[in-house]
Amino acid sequence: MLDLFAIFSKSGIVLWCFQSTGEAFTSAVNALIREIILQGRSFKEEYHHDQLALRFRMDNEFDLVFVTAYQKILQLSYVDKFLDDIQLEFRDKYRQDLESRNFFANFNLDGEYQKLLRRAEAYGKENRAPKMRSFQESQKSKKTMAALIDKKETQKEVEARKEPARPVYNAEDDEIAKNKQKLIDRMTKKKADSRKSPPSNKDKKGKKARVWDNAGQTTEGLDYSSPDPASNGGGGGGEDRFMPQTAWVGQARGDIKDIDYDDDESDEEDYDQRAAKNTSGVFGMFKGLVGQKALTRADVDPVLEKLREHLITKNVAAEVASSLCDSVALQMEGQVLGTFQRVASVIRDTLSEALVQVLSPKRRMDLLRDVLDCRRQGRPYVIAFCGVNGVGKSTNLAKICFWLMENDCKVLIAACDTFRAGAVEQLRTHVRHLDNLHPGKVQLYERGYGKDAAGIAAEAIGFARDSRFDVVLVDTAGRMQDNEPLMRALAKLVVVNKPDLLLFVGEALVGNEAVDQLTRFNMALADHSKMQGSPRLIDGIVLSKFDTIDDKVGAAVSMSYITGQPIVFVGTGQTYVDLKALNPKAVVKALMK
Amino acid sequence: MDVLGSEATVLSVVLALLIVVITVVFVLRRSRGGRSNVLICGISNAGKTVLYAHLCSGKTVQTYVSIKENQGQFEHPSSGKVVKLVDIPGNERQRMNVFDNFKSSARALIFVVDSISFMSELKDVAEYAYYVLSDPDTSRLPVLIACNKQDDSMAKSITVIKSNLEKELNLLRKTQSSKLVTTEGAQLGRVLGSARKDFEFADLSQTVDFVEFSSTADRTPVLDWLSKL
Repeated sequence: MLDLFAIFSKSGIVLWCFQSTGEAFTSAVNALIREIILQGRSFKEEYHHDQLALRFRMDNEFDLVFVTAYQKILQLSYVDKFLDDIQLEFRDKYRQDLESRNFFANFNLDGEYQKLLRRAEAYGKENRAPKMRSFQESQKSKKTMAALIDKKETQKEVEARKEPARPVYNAEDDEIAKNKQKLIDRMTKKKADSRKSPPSNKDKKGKKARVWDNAGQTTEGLDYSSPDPASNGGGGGGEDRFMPQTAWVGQARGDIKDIDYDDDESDEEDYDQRAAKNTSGVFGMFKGLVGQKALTRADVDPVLEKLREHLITKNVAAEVASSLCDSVALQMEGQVLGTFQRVASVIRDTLSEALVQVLSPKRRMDLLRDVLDCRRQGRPYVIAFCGVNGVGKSTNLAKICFWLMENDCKVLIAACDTFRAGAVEQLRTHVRHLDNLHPGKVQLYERGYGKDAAGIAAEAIGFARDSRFDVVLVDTAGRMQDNEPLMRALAKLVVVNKPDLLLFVGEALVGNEAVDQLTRFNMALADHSKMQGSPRLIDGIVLSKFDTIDDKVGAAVSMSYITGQPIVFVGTGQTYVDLKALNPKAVVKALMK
Repeated sequence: MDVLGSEATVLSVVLALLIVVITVVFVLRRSRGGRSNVLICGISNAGKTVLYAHLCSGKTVQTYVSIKENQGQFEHPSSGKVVKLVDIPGNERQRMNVFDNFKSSARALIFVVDSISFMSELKDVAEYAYYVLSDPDTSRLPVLIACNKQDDSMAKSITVIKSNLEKELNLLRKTQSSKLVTTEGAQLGRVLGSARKDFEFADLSQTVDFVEFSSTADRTPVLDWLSKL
């Protein structure tokens, strides 16, 4: 009982489809593509959309996707077999059209579809109720005393039997490809080999000693004992010693700047690769002579295993690295390589592409535009911050506040951390400093400690609406993801106040812990929301302490992979101007280095 | 002897000149050949793939979200002119990256807009339009903003779409202005349109045309525009 079966090209054109009901399945299939394939989760077997369950197969040789949908309550055991069968049948029948990528031929599978479906159903019935084994067939009948005695022997035998079945990676193929590449190089007298030049560059670069700004060479900058003539000496003691850093004013105006990496070297690599691609056009005619090979799982796995380890050393959570590699494997399987391409480099490229895709936002992220929109509606734009303790919620809140003020927004900060001692005072200090830089644009809404955070936030939003503030930044208490009462309080704050943006602040230092934090936060928000329909989840990430991790940028990938949400801000230092936006391509370059 | 010698030098000079001319022509051809694609872009569900399929094969096809670009050739029915078409996926995660891959080979752009859901998608449409129009690689190319699905009675007309897009792009110029300075590569602050007044399509360095069409019913406006290329 399949409701829908469709064959479509990866470029979106439906080649053939069968629908048993008049229902529109387009939205379900589109959701499958967006949620699963585009987010690097292709390894998932089944995707649920409303009442439907969808399963799919990708054919990478011809860039096709086979998808089928059925009612979720039906436990269909034959779907996988059916998809495999029909994929083979379709490929055989229209091989010529598919090889020339002609997606507009008259594809017709009516007969085959019915036949294969019937066969698969029969197969499913057979397997559904496994026959009971008779005693003679069972393992127990073979368990004689003798068998029990030389148990070790049999164990070995079993292992020996298993051994050849395991896919062994054949290194020869790669060797052949390498030799072919060498041959071309000799023929074209092309000195700069795209794959050989990088190592020499890397040697030169090496690891440089990090120079800290105040690394202890001199104590000049640290000696604050002599009275500063510029500061006003009178009254107030330590509190008033703050000197407004007026040099910062104006630096954060406009959009948030991207993080720059010194990636000249990898750029060169890119150019070299492009050049190499061009030369392959000259040798295109050899393609027909030297047979093409389709990748099998056995070719892909060892390379991906190495890449997976590489990702983990770059601080990507192990779980995330595995699932990313699994979905890349599914994307690679069956793909036909060009004669002069090497497996490893192709897989690397595919993985980087997938990583860029994970990091690219899946929706529009233009905060200032949305703020303008809210201003027109006469209400403030509310941003709430959440996260575990000590990740830098308040610090990043102050930075974001500075950025918003630079862009002519009036900001109200709501001190909803009524829990930790000194939290309100910290915000008060920030507000005083910020007010020095841009007078009259920022205010603090505080109600002391021990009160209900959701209530304070609601009051603050009301106050902001009355006094025409553009943005309300809600600072919440840091909480560990397993602290049930505090998570409940956070969910309440979100449900009551409905912030326009719920930002999760996470450290860039975090490794495997990122998975747990984000899933638990999301789960708590979903569990405690008590609302009909889809609950309000985290919809943006602030990555803090990004300056401390050098090139171990894996946390960025882990976090946006788990939530599927973009990284909106990146904190890169201690001062108000150290706020940046994430550049996916630069991060992936650093990651794959 | 002298006469013969001079004739030989003249001949060799002529030959050398000929070779130079031929190589120059060849190189020019190559470089122009580098810019041969007409890119079909626009946000998801605007009708890009349907338009592409129509132009390439004349068939109406059912489509899902594209995760890969379509490349094909379009032969103009009346003039017989052949144009290479590239249909860029419209989903948010890919559209910018794929556009970046193809922008250097672009010869013209067709920006497809869904006229029915235009008002609700205005911000997304404008953001992508801003990205496409402000790219220095495509700053001299002709652009067609094709308002699709005009056979529906709820479709917005050209004038509404144009004025709303202009208003929205004017706002976007403010909110995204410093992006021009800091992205990779040394592109220096290119302000979209004229900085002194509100944004208008007429002020752009590229020629922008607007047409109403429907990829399932009436595609002649797009065909006419393609034949003018």
